[in-house]
Amino acid sequence: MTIDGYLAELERELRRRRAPRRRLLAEAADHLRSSADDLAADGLSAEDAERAAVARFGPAALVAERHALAVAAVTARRAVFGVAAACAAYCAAAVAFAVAAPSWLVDFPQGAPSFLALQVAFVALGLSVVRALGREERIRLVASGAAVAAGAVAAAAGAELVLALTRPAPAPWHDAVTLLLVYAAAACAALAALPWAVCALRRASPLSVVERDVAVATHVALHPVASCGLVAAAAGAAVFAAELAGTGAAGAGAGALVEAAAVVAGFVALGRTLGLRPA
Amino acid sequence: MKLDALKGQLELVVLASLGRGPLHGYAIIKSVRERSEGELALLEGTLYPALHRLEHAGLVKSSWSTEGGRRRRIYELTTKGRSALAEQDAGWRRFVRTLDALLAAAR
Repeated sequence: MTIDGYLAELERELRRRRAPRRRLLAEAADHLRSSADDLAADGLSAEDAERAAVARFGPAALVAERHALAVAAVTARRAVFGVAAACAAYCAAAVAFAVAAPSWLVDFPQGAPSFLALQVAFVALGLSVVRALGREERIRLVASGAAVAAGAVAAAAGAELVLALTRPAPAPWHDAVTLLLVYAAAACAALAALPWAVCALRRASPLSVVERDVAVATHVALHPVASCGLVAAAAGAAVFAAELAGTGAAGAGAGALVEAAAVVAGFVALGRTLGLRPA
Repeated sequence: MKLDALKGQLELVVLASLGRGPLHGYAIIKSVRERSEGELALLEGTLYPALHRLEHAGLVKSSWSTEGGRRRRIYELTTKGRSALAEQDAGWRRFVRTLDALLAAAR
């Protein structure tokens, strides 16, 4: 194989794995040409020198796989820190609301979506980090946990916004402008962490998982955002059910039951993503 | 030496090659080949993922430079990389001494 042919194959293999390409391709090109020059100086024909340099460099699929894994490990680690910070910021905003919100704002944003999302987020992060310890597929597990956590909080931020905009009572926003700014900043942090985490998951997923998209469970594992959206929708249904049942113990009980069911359903749906069941 | 035996030691080999000064990827391979007198044969392309990991661990830093019309990425050890190399060197010597003693007892 010629150097140009090899570089084209390496680019294809890197693209399939969603790995960054420019730097590795530039370094591989320089390496292969220097190697071929040395081999030609030792007496090989230009064609044989290129072939030998390519053989020494190793199969394009193997080099691309190692590179993708090295990059994924870095992205996953950063994504976990970013997502954990975003979850903590969102959690702090919810606590600030619980402590200081005026009466017209008490249901926002510590309503069911936020509460459920923060449970999902912290359990997902903790679970994936613990399950990743000493396991072969640890990068994928950590990236999965980060993606689920970021997806959950981002979905909650969206759901809370919808609830806020559809509130029947007019809102005197200026009464709580600091609190709303804190919440908006936390929600923005959660939204910003989401693409980061999804990118880490995509990079960390082995090709066999990315290419096998027929099973519903795999689809769920590869679309944590949509899955979390479903969980948030279930939380919305919980609030609705509680309101239908009226206030008081019966309403609260119905709401709590639906919410608990939503948490369980969420983790069953996300089981493969979090490594609870084999992929 | 087969690739399997080198697996896990590739990063130490890279740190050791950079111990004498900054080098680009192909020069690292040449230095390993010359210093090991051809005993260490590795798939050359796997060097770059290892350099990437070392760089993100803060043990190595790199920058582009142009040499003889070719654009090359030059790698060098950081202070952290230098102390990691000294530490791994000492650990490796201890390991070899221990294994030597065990093998000598079996002779």
